[in-house]
Amino acid sequence: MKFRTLSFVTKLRRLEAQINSASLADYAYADGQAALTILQGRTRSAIARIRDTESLSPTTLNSVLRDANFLLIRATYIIGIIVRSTSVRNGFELYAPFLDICHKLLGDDARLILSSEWQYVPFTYPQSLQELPNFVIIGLPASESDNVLIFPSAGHELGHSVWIKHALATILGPIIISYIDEAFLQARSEIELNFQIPRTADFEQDMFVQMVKSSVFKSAIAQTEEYFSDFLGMILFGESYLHAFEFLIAPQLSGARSSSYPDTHRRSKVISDYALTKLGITIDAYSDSFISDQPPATAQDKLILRLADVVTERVLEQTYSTALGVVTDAKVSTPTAAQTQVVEKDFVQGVPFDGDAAIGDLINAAWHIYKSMEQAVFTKQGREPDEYLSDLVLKSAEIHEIKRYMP
Amino acid sequence: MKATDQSNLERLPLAEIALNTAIELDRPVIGERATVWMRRLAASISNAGSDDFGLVPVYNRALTSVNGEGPKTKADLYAKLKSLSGLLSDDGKIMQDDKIALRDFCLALHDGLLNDGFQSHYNVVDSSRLQ
Repeated sequence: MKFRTLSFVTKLRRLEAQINSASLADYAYADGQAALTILQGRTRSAIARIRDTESLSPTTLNSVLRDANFLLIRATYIIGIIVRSTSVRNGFELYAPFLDICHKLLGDDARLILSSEWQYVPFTYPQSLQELPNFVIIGLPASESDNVLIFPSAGHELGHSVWIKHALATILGPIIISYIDEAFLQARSEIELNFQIPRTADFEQDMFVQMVKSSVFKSAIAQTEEYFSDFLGMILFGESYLHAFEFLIAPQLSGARSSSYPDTHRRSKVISDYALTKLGITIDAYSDSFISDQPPATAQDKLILRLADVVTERVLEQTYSTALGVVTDAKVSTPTAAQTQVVEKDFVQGVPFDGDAAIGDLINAAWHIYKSMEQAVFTKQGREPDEYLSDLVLKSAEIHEIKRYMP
Repeated sequence: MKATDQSNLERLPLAEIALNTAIELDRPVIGERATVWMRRLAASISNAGSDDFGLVPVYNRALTSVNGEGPKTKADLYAKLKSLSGLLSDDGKIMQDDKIALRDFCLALHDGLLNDGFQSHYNVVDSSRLQ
């Protein structure tokens, strides 16, 4: 075997050895090991493909090797997440109820990996490892992974999996394209000026214009996916989604704005407006806690983002109704003000809730107390409110789980 | 091909389909495996449309790689994809020149999709998701 291909076989073989080693860890739930088994198969296939294509043309072999590099990069990253899902920092008690939600929204074959990560932002990894299409992979910040107050952010991350599973880009994409066409006609002079497009260009057909439209589309569809995920998190968890978002993000967590995300301040305004008008949730001056991101540096990028923002906001109503439709169709139990109040009465007494409640009710009740003067009760007992409230929610979830299997 | 294989194949992303098609087209003889991959790719690119409008630059670059001349209009881009799709569906009756052109198209398509994949990966790794 030539050195070039041998080195790749070696790299992949060493990756497989790490997968085998990771499989020996103590997993509380089987899904991590199932993902490792799939990755092991994928790694073996990549080795076989390299051996099989060694004698093909150099250009084809380059693509095969580049593909193998991409697998090495993704798999290494995912294996790390799977290994860290065994950490005792994780709130394992919320795994089962959240997996139930995943099953309802994604189907019975949905698998869940909930991990504690060393970066201070919740994230999901659903898009880039197509070999694990049924896996919802969510990482929560290590210092917060047992803090139930921020758990609703997992609802946003689940939204990305729902977006893919339900192929929502194929539903909302064509609407976005039609809005982009309209936006381009309205801003034609500005677009011609900024991109040096001849005044005679056919905006419907000109290839260069299509490339600009494609950039606007990429931004608008990504932003729409973010709003969809926000709405899904908000519908699943209620007001605690907004509190968790503020807790983790406010006033802002990055510098320059990414074209894939709405502006932080505007996003907080949109989700609080929708919380009020659609769910009757009022949080006074919510968006005042957030600030805007730094806009892009060039006039062209600014224009692309502005057009994408216009289009994204036009499709917001459909985005919300799509999220609501998905949750309603799946018959997922969502929180109500009345049930949250029932849970809160027990929590204020310092005891877990042992009745039936949505996971959102438990966390909303915890947030009510955390944000009120009632939290002082726990502080007097020598416990931090977030720790005590997390214990109450986790114990309540555990009791619910025990009763489910031992009625 | 077994039913389970077919089901897995359906879920394979376009990049994987493009790479496997290129590999089969690079072999001295086009066999049964090549036909399967070519038909799968033909189905994918003939359906290119507004729901994957973000792929326009990738398709444009891949088509340009075939003979150095890219599409001039949106209609031209989709017409060229349709034409390639027809060629891929032609069950092994491809001439040698077409075979090389199709292979180069597949490799350029795979390359562009992989670039998007790398970008997506590093977006996840380097920046926040909720934010």
